[in-house]
Amino acid sequence: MAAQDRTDRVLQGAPSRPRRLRRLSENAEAYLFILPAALVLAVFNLFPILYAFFVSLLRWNLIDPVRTFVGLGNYAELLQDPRFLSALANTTYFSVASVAVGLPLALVFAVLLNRTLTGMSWYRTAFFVPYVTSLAAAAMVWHWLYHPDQFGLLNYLIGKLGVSPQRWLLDPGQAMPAVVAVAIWSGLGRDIVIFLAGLQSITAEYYEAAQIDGANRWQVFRYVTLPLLSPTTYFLLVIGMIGAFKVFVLPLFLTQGGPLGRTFTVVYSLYQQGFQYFRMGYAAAQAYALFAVIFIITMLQRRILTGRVHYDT
Amino acid sequence: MRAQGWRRFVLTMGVALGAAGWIFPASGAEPVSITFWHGMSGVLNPAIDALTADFNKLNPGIVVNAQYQGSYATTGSPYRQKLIAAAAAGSPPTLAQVFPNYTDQLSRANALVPMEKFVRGPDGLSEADLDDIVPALRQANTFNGVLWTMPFNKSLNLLFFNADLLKQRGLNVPQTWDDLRGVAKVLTQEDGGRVTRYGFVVRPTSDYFFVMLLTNGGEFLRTEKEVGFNSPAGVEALQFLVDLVNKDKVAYILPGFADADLGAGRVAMYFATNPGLAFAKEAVAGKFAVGLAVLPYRKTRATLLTGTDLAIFAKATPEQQVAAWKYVKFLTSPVGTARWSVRTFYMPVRRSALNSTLMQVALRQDPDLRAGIDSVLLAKTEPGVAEWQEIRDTVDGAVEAALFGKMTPKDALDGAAAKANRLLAQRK
Repeated sequence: MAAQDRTDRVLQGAPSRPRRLRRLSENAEAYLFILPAALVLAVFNLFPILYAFFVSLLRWNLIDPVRTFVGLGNYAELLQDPRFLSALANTTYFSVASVAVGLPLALVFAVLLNRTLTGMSWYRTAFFVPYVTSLAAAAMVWHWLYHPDQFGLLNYLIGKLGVSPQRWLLDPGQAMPAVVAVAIWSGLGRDIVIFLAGLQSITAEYYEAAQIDGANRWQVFRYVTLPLLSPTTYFLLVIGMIGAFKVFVLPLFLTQGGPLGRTFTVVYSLYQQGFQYFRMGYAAAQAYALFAVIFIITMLQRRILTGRVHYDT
Repeated sequence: MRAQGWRRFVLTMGVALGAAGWIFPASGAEPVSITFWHGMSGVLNPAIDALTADFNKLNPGIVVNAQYQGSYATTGSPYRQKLIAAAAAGSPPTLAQVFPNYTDQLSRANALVPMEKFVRGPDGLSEADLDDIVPALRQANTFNGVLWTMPFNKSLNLLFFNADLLKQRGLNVPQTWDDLRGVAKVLTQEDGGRVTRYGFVVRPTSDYFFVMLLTNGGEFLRTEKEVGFNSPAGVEALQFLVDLVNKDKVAYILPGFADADLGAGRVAMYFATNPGLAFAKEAVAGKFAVGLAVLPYRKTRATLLTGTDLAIFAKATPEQQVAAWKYVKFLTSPVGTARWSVRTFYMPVRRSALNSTLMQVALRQDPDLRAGIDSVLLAKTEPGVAEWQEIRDTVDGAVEAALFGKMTPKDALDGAAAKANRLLAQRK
């Protein structure tokens, strides 16, 4: 009986095989088109991601033919490594500060830039220029602006206001805020442009209706603009947090992680372990730890905020 | 018409070249071409190129391509990254500058051929030649009894000072730690409650601490797997630096190099290595004389030796390796090292180079070079273990924490030592 069943099923299934083949051949062209991109992704993204997990289970210095398998040892070390944990704390500080200050600021400028005025495109360009400037080059310029003596432009300016010269990047308390400021400056343009797109996609009828109802400008902003902009805000928040947790170039060029390790971030730590100390396994474990943190934060944002995002369809 | 003209031109050139090849045939076999990776930028780059050009002229069978591959001293050391990545990818250069901790990493991965093989080979060095290498340098290039690398650009930590200022105040060059503190106190100048010039400067890095550790009779390693820098000698050394800044207030903290501050008159004395003299002279621009002296000490006269060595890679063909050795021999010969030294202020690696006419003339013109030469026999080196970079960075953190008053020198150093010992314990 059982054998008969199976034969029946095989017989029943038989005609589907040519059909599947046919479908494959129908789609062959499409597969061919995505093949180059898929190959590039597989070789340069997927494989390294999987390989990094394998490496995270090893003690290996990149060139040693001997790779010691340590299981989850690298992950266990992470949890007791005060330097890594402080990097995680610094990164969280950086991310929260840069997004919490950067996003509202971008919104304010987007609203200001969202009107017709002569030379408006010039202003918009001016805000976008920092974003397309090489971050490394910009960091070098900011390094001069933050010069700790009275020669520094910032110190010169606050000197005019009667404030004594600050140590900026050399002061353990001021260094991270100084780095955050540069990050906001450089990312503002991108956020503004996306906010502008969001603002311009809000239909004029809502504003007209609000006006007829006698809403003042603040009420229009609060009860029309803000809710209808929430998908954009949500998108920028998620993308902004993910980007902020990967911060690396600014501390590398501005402070080298100092002073007292106050601007030492997770990716900086990963880079240092991997490409300065050549502890590839430990670096890979840090990459996966960072992925886990970003994943959890993104999920939390989703859980908490999805209900509050107003999609106007 | 035009196309025809071109065709005729190409044809003529081809015939001409062919004829030239027939009339002047290439002499013998193809020359052996080797690559030499280095991290010598700025004023140091032309010095390498000049020596390399001379070598290529003297050895028609060999072509050395000296390539600058990024600095090993700047943030992140792109040089080391490139070198290790190239070794991992199986395409390293024939010859490269390496620090002792790179040598440890590379030799354990079988990526190098020990110099010993060529030193003892047919075109090797005599026993007298080997003895001529400065002993501390020879020792620093020897791992487990085998000479893996040859010393090349070596520098020593020295005391740099504004010589005119010391002379004006009738001060002697500090010989001991107490002298250093005393002189720094006299030279620190205040103007209306603001310090306009400090006597001394402290970099919040391991270099300054290591220098003090050594001159206080301390050591880097207690045993092969245990560091010794948190000994009482080490704690005293760090406490002394902390006191100079926070208690005596005769020094300030500066993360970068101090040559610009010397030139601007903001500091009177600091520690730096020999090649720093070129930078100091540039910053001072002839406003006053820059003095160099052996480091002040407390228990033992000593100094810290830094800089790179030359390593030949196993991936290269035997012919390339032999050619690379010839070049190494040329660079580290008494004449080669003297020429290099005079131009860059790096230490000559051969004792006989010190007596060469070239060095003698240079010494007469620039008596400050003397301090480096007097120090060379006091030189100590940092341990050549692959983990040293991380240990060094950990010590940087400890020194910084102590200078900023976040930790006592003892706690800071004990913490760094515990981490260092953990790293050393992982070594096979």
